[in-house]
Amino acid sequence: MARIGRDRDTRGDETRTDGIEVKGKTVEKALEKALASLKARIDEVDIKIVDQGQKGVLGIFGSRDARIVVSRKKSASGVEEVVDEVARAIMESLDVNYRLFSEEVDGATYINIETAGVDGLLIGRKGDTLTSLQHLIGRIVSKKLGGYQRLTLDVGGYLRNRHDILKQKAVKAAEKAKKTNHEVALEPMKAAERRIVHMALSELDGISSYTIGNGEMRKVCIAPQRAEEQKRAGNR
Amino acid sequence: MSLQKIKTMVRKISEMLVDRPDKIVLIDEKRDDTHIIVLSVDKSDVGKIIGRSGQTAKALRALVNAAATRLGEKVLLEIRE
Repeated sequence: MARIGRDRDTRGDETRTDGIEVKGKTVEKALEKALASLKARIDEVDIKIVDQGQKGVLGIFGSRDARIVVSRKKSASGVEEVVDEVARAIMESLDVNYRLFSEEVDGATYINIETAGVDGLLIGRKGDTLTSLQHLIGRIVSKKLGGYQRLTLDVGGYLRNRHDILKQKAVKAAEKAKKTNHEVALEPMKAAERRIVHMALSELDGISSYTIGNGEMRKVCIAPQRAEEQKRAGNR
Repeated sequence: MSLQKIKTMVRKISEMLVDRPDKIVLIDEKRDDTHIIVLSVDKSDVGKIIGRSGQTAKALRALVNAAATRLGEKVLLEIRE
């Protein structure tokens, strides 16, 4: 069975080999295979050539496959390594394999954890457990690396989906506010979710948004701009 | 045993949060059908485990709950100095 990048069940911090060894007729072919199984682009990996391979006579006799070791590059900031350490502690206690995928989005590190069957458990009701996880990992990351590191933690792509849904809801509610010329309140949301909604709404014309309510009940309210306000906005 | 695994998780994560990981002590107690993990840390580290308005403690408990659910156990986490 192919071992993929960040699946790990072994400790050993300095010498850990999270790379995979791949064989192919040529180095290029082996690399292609490796990238496919790591789901990585060529600029995301380190490549070590173990054996160039040999064509051999007529391509049959004395031919030897090329062998390379391909591993994901470690992120420069070390955020990914810290997250991996925490994730490993949790996944080991749950007896579950996992994978980390990380990318840089708008200057923040976005890390998605995919688990073999406990995504729902780690997300929790309305993402509560995920929020807890994000908090813990955030604390540990800033303790280990110092300063403030922008990190978004996701499990099974939950946040991404949720944010897409929120944006759609916001746009729909904004249309309703404009059409009816009445204020429209959205469901109560967490601070991070309200931020997404406000940002999506700020790109739309003819409405303004603000937050009402306290604590758990804080929700975004969308108000249609009156005609004179719109004119003023247009003159600016 | 499953409780042991949850304890290991609590230990590892606590170690990453505090300044004095050597002072972490974990004890487990049992009341009726509920396991209680008692986490005690150095006096100077109590704040780090609890966090602002108990946020960190809440997050740790959420994680313990998630793990306990998976293992079909009832586990509480208590924090002491």
